[in-house]
Amino acid sequence: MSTFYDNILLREEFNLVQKLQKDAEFAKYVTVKYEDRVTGETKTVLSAPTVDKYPEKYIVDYRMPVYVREGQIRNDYHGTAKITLSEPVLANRRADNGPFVEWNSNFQPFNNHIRKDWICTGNAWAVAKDSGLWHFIISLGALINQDEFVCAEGVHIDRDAYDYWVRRGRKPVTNINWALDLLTKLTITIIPTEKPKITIVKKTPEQQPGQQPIKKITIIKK
Amino acid sequence: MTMNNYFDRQERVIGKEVGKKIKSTKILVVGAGAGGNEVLKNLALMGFGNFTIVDFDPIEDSNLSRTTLFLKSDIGKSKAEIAAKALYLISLHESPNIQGINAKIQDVGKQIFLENDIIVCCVDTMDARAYINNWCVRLKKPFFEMGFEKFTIQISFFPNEKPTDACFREVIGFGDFTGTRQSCSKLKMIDTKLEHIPTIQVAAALAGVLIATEIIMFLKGDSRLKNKVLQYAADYHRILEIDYPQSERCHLHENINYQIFKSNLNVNINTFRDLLTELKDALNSDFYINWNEEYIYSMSCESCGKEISIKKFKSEIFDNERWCAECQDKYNESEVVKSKWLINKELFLTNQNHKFFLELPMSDFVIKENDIIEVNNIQSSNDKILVLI
Repeated sequence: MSTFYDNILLREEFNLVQKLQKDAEFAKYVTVKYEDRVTGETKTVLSAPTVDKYPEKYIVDYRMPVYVREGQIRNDYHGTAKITLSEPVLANRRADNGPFVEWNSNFQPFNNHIRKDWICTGNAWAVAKDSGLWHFIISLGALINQDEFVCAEGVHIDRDAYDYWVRRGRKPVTNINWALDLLTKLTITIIPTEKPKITIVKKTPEQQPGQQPIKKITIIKK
Repeated sequence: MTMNNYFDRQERVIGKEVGKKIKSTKILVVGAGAGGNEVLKNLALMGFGNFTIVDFDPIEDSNLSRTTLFLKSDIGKSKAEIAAKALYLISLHESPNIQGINAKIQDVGKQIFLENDIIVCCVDTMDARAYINNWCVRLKKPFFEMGFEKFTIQISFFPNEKPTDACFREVIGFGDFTGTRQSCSKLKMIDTKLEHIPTIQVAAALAGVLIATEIIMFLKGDSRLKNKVLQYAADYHRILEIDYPQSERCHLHENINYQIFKSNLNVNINTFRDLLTELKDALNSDFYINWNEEYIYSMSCESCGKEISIKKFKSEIFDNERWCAECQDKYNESEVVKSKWLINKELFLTNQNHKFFLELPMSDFVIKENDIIEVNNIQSSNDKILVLI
């Protein structure tokens, strides 16, 4: 394990996931925790890890409505992804082989990519690999929600679910405004300042006859 | 008793001092195919006599047109073992010590790198090249590498002696070379095959000559190939020499303070808890182990649920291993992972979830005899221990 992976890459991922968790829309549907490497405790991603050992294992809880059959939605769906990061994945994000994911849920949704105890991470990683873990966490959520940007075309594990999704116009179950702009989103703080003063001064007596009148403008910068 | 006169003319070229070094230098040659045969033959004829040869392949009929150490009667036998025997017969060293190990280099204890003075890489896969290079950098061992395709030969030499030296990763990149076509399970597909590259005996012979020459130049202190790659297109007699400066993207060159610690433990009896406790007691600090990728201890069969012992890193496992031997006829590559895997990646004494793995004998968790375990200091990530076990 390189120190670059341990100290830089894992910390970067953690900080971005922490920022993601603070997004109000995301937090309505997803809660991210992690396994503290030193103690093994499960902690919220909003708390710091022991002795700055940034996590490799994340536990992500998804709660969102899902279809269970044509036209029927259940609102009590709950799935948990245990995601393990590793150096080959983070140091080589373009690799097709994404993070290792264990999946569990309370029931099987009507979804072409998800079973009760398995989730297809292939396409989720394909769209997330240039950005990293935070995007991958969103992508798994988007897969449950059947957002078009992450759902690969074609039948995978459930033909009926795929056909129904196509007939619905490839629409998501819920219109979730995922924080896909996390990296570019700027925090703008506006500090009130005094307006610049503009003073227009009348023509001075020293003005020579025949000269054009002058408007003297003084701008006081603050 | 008459003294033999094998090297009189040679020593007029390289001197008696280098002649003495040749006798004592221990060389590890990984890969005993066409290139490995040629290097070994050249070195043996120049008086080298301390060799360890590692290769996991058996000799095939197609090898015989490019290998000087194998006979028709050797087909089907271990390349490493036959090369060692043949080399012993032609060796001019007064007391040759030649060992052939029929195994993948990744499956041999890593102390093999420490036990040798020079490492010659004659393998044909990128993951093996990357693995050998990584350990040569950590242990500061001179790394000679060869490759050839059609009539083009490429050799390189990375001495790993100065902090500014480059390594073979600068040549091949920093990616993960274990990658193969993946199934939904993220395990290798069973149709993954090694692609045979087109090659010819003269290319292997030239590569063997160039590497053996560079080894002599290195022992003389006159190597001009340090941190360089030399390409020779034999069909056009074109030579290209490429300098490789160290890249900041190569994390093998991080400023790590490696300390070597000789453990008194036995890999077949003692556990990782014993090892981390031994280190804590000896060095008065807390340590942990982190593997590069996930280690899978066991799975349950996708069909019958019976527990299957795996004990391999994830990238080494084929997808069909998710079915037990009795259920192999039910193997379906598109079947999703239903069964739970017993898997781990790192070990902290204080992590309550690591208890099962901490109590395993180390040999049950990827450690071999004569191995080296890289251990990290919790308090200081720049201090690492290489435990010889």
